Amino acid sequence: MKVVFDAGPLITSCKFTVRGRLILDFVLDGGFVAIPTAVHDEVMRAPMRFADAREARQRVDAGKIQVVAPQLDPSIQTILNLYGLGDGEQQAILLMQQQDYTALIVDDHLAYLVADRLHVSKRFFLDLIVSLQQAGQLDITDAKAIVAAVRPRYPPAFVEHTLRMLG
Amino acid sequence: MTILTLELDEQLSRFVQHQAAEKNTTPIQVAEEILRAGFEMRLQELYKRYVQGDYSFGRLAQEVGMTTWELTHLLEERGWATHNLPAR
Repeated sequence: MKVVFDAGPLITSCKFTVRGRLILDFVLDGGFVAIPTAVHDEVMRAPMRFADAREARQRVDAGKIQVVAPQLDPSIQTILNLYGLGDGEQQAILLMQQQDYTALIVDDHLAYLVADRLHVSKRFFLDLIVSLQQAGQLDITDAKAIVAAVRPRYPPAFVEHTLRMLG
Repeated sequence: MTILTLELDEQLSRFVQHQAAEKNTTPIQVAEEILRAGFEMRLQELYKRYVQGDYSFGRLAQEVGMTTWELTHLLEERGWATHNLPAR
């Protein structure tokens, strides 16, 4: 599974651990993760006192996360500029329009809606966990533990629904 | 820490001087307090726009001059939700 991560899911997956292992590493086991340059710039600018940012930076430096620059596309950017999106979300959507990725992993409500209107394949991070489990790339126990670990970052209904999807 | 030089008009200058005298502090400390209060007010306004769906998380971070990582930590320190997904 080839996915593009927006900043939100990247930060969440670099913050929490399961069995002493960073959640991002479970995702990297099951697929290819790319981030646009604007999201990468933020990883590099984030203060080093933040452990989550350090974890992300280490994986970028090790080549485990690919950094990809979307091509300029004024026709799409004109549309994206109509909305109150940040550079990272705009580039992530652009990247999805230009290259062959399975889905954009995004947890932001506005970015999700804009991606939907542009017919971009997208999933919440919680749904990526379900997809990885259903594809046999993530153990059910780990999948449930990941959902439980990231609970503080989502509304309760989203977490409960995800746990039921996992069965 | 950044050092700024502020040029105040007469009205603002008198206000700052008066506040400093009233609180037995320095004009610089008064100006710093006012700036901090202004930041808090602006942050709350922008966060409201984020929760309402006018702004994405990335845009909110840009508007307050932070990275999304810094903003995530700032919101969590305040006990504010980092997501803008509907609760029900």
